Amino acid sequence: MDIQITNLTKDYGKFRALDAVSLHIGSGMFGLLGANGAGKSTLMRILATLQPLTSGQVKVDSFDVMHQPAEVRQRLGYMPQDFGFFRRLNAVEMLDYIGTMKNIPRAERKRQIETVLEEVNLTRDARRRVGSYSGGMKQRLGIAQALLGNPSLLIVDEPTAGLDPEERIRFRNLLARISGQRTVILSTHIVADIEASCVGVAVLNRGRLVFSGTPDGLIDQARGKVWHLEVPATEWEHIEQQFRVISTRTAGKTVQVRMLTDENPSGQGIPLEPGLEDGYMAVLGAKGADKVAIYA
Amino acid sequence: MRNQNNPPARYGAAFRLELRLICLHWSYALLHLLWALVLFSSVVGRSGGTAQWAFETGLLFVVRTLISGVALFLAANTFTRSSNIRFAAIEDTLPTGFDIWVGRWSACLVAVLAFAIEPAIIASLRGPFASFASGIIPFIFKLSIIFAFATALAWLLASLLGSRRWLFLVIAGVWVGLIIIPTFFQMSRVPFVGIFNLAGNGSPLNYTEVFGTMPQGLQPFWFHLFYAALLGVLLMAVLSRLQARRLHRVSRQVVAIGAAALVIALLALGGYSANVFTARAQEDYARAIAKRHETDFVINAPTPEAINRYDLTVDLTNVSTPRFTVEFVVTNRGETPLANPRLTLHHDLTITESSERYTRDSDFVTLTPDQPLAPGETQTIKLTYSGSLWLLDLFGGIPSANTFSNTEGVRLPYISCWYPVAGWVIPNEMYGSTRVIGSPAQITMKVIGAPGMTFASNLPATGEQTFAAQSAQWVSLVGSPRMVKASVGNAILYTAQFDQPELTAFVEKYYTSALAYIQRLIPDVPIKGLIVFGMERAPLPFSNTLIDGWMIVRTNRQWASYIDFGDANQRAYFISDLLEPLFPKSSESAVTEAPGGNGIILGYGANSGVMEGIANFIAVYMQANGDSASMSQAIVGLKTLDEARIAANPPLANPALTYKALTLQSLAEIYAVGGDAAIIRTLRQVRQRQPELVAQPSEKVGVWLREASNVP
Repeated sequence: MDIQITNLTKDYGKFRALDAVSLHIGSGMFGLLGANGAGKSTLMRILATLQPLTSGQVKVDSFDVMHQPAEVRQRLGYMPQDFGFFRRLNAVEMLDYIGTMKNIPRAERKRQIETVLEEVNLTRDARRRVGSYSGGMKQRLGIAQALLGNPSLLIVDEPTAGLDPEERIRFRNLLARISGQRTVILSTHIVADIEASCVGVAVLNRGRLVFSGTPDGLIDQARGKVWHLEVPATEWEHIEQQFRVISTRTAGKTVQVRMLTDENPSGQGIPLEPGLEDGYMAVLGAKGADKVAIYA
Repeated sequence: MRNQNNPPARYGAAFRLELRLICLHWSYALLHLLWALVLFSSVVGRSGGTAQWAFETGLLFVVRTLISGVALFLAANTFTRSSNIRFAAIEDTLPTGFDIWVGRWSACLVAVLAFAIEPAIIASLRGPFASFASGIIPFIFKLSIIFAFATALAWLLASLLGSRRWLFLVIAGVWVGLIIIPTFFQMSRVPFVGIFNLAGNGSPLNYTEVFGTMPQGLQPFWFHLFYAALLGVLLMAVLSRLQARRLHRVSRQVVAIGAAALVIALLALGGYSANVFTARAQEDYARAIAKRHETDFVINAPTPEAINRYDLTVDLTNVSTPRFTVEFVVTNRGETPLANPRLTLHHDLTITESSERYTRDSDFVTLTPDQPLAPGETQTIKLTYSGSLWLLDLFGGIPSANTFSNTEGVRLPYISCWYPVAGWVIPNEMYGSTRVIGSPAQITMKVIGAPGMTFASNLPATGEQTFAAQSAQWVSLVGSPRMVKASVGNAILYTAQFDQPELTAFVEKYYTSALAYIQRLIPDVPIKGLIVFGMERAPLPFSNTLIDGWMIVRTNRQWASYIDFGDANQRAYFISDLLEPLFPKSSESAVTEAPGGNGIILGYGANSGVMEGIANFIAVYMQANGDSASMSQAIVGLKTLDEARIAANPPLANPALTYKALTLQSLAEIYAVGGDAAIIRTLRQVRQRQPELVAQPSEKVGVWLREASNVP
């Protein structure tokens, strides 16, 4: 699977949600990172054929998403950020319905439903009404429906948002497991989601593509710029104004600060090995750019 | 791996799922329960039409009115369901066509059409089965068009407004608008307003079992075509919005089909308007001609010319263009010579041969004999004429034919002047002119052709298709393949095939039995029997008449079952039908104005009060079989009933009730003393001196009657 995005622009009236984005996505799991409102969901919805673009071109394999949406949908599994199911149906009925819509023959459909339910660990609750599912179960059912038909392109939009930490880790592992030979595009504002298994990553900031490459490449963006500094609590305010602080930890009367700066802060900083979130912060540029959530 | 596209499977899955989501919801079951309660409590046992009649009139109207609202709401809910539960984003990325939308829409339509089950059960209870079988398919078809339209309209609104909460408020407004607003404007001069009444069937409530829906002409066709075409427009509009959403473009085919459907809808609107326009044009034309002759034309003024014999031959070999041959005798009953006897013959009938010279201006024919007709002189004239008749009435702004002749039926009412009428009158004016009823004449009528039709006339039948009367003032002819003629005692009943069993029982129970008592108590009027027209809009005058000893009565099956016959007061209603021709003055001065003449009607007056009193006396007499003690008891019961009615509804206290009560009481007292003979004497006096009686103040009525009875 090969996705080629060329000069993609999307306007909502006078507001430009995507601005001349060009990007190439190959097989494997690809992370799309950006703060809320960066344009991730718009890009995902365009890729999922849900929205027309204003200008530019998006091709999934050789199919243009604007002009050949039906061809793209044949190859697509999509899990939106916010979705629901028919509450009175159970998981099997719901998946059977979606499987029919995906043109999966009856016998094959039955087999696939069992497989995906197993995959997302919902076999035991398969006959329960979907309306009674917890948030995490619903998310897993969401990924199960996307997996039906064995799509070569899987788009998951903010799949871990709203999940508790345990569910989030479980979900992240699930995504890593299913990515296999297909292309999985994962949109998130949680850096840790990307870190686990993405082979490629792109960062969007206010509709513009500010980075595209590998996770290591993104980390390299911060190499030599990440410092650890321990300052008295009274100086914290001054430090925060002066530097781009990534994280802080209070230890007694001192504050341990992880910051991003080209030079050793105050000559007292200890250089640190950068992580993905450091790279992300680095490509966002100026101080005060939108913050990204960083979770363990 | 790419799976093979399978639209039928997707359609089936979407259809089944939607049907399940709608029908297995508690609210759907509740709606059916409420619907059944509403229908069964308001319709069952209230009206006596057959199944087909119910399907074509009242039930159709009720179902369309109420269930179109249900259709709008269910459809809006169906369309927005995916969005409401946030499934739309997944759904729109599935490799489907519009099959799933079609599946959902058809499921919604089926769920709505299921509300036809309750009315179908009601209709089936009416029977007979043959009537049910012939009515059910058109009923479902007509409902399908309207419900499909309503569901498509809801879909378009939902697609335009999205799944907002106030969508349903808009839907409610649209429903009220479609049902109520056109009704307000229906009587207006705008010819197409009626078509916008979603619930209306584009026609008045015709008695379709005799003539089918033929009197409505093309009106139902235009009505249904309009909504079917609009359905096309709406579906294409919805499809174009779905295409824009799913394919990011709108196909030319969809636009072209939508445009074509719109053109068809406009054509249907034009056709519908043309029908209404034609009806109005007919009315206006007749009035315009009358106005042109207004110096000669005085409505209802006596005319010097009279026709006292007709020999009519109605040739229906070509039933769509009947050919008439009429030989008639014109008499100058004036006191001066009559140079130009005047006749009225409907202008759609073209005179092809005439034994006398004439000039004609539309309906008005003027004979121009060589010599004027001397006073009392007669002249025999023979006319041959033919033409296609299709004359319309406007009922609630909607046209319906009252005069026609085609393979489905023949209806030639006296008011349409299908035979020459003495003097100039405005034809086809139900309320405007009574002069169509001419002087008594000897009339024979022979109908040729139209095999398979049964014919009825106010003239007593002398054969299958021949009719004659020594003295009749008007002639109507009705023919239909669905009509039957049946003998019920000394009554001849003409009615729809399906109505025959019920009306036969009805006539037997309430007309022929009452007639026997009338014949006993009013023996000086020789009554041979009844000719009963069991049809909704029988082409008869408003008052029943007596022709050659045959009482011409109109009734219909609805009357038979609307009324609870246990009450002598109500039974008397039918007896007064039969008394009408025996007391010809009874229909005059029927209402009384409030003192001061400010136009406020107080109620029915002395005349109708006296007639009701006599009818009630005969009803009580029948009920008690002439037993005086039982009659007194029954009269007390009736009095109590009347008092209770007045207490519940004070405006009922009108002078007629006083006259009625006093007449009834007096007749009962007279009977108690003098028996049948005294009643016979009294009623003879009432017939002979009716104006004198009704001029009496109410407190003198008893005295007057006792004096007339000759009993002490």
